[in-house]
Amino acid sequence: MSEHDQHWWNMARQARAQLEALVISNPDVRMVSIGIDPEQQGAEPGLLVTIRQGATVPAGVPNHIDGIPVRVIYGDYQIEQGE
Amino acid sequence: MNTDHLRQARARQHLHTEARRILYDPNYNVTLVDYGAPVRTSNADDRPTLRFHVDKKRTPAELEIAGIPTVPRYIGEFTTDIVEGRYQLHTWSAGNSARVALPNDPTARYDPLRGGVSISDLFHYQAGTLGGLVRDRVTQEDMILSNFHVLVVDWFALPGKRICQPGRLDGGVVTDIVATLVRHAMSSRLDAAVAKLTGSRPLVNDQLQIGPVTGVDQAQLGMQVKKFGRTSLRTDGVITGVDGVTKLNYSGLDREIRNVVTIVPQNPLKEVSAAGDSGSWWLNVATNAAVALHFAGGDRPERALGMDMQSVLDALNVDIVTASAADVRTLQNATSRVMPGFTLPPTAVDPPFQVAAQAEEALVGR
Repeated sequence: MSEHDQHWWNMARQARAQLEALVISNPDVRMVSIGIDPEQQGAEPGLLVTIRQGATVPAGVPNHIDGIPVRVIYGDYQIEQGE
Repeated sequence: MNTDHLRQARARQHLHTEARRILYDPNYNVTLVDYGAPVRTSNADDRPTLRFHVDKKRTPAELEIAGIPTVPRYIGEFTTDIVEGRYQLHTWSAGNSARVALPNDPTARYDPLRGGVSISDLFHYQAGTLGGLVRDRVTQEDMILSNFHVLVVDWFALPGKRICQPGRLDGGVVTDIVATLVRHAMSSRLDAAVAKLTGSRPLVNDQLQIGPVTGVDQAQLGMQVKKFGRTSLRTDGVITGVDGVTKLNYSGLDREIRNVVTIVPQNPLKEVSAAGDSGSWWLNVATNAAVALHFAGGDRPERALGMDMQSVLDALNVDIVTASAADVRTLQNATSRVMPGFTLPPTAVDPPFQVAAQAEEALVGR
């Protein structure tokens, strides 16, 4: 999964920055990253947009950016201090 | 991911939704729900399935007479199973004469300090995890690395704020102060902070139960990692995301955190992190080098979030202090104090780390 060369990673990071600019202001979007869908670990890496459980896929999320696939997954995160 | 893995993942979703609803509905008298091998005798499908544990199995007629609803026969693709099981808390009481502190209990008081144990600032009734030992690149002072929300907490906190071990939630008081706050990295969008050791107790490079840290590795997709945290103890995971940017709530304010690494549990049915684990270090299983600083997580689905360790170290201008012969000697001589009258057995050092320490000692001796 990490066999992609430096060129691919450079492209992926640029694409992630573009995707972040597109969607991060949406309140349902929790994270934008480069990775593999945790539910499909055999899949090729791409860009991941994590949205809140139950949220609808935000408008304007492209299927690809510069040839790098974009996937939408669900997840909610909190900081983990014990109280 | 094979089909069993996917089936487990789907089971996990059901355990969090429909099965949990039944568990919390008192009408069902269900004491536990889990995913495991079926114990039924009349079903050809012996694959693991969703199981509902009850004090006593009853026939449909008995259930009807008692007014107890029946658990659905099917949930999704799973044929449910009913298992007899009676459970109670295994609590310690004053009548237990042979009280022995559990080895590797991260909520205990540690001397010397080590990564993985409970810590907090002195003013908030909470606890996070002491990440490990770092050294200031300029002053060469030894410091604790953990999270902003563990060591700093308040936006208006000033350097010099006192840090105690164990954390306040685990009984830490003013006599347990071990460090004072120096700086944090929230301005770099990293939930990280360092505190200078007071010298009251040394901090050794030896993560509780998982050994000394050997350096820093870059997070890679598919890398197997492990951590020891104050609440979920040792957990193992796999990195599925890097270079993330996320938004999280800090004391009512949404803040953006960057350089995020996503980790899923190695075993999809197990927890990968929990509240109180913040500040722990994710290590590469293959090298024991630090990969990420844990700070957040989610239960649905189960995932942990860390921040790329090298980015954290650069932002705070510190380096990890790696294993040294002095650490090993300190560990060998250490007597950990848990509380008056109780002694914690020294942590066993895994054989590979003993070998690594010997190699380190040989290098130091040159």
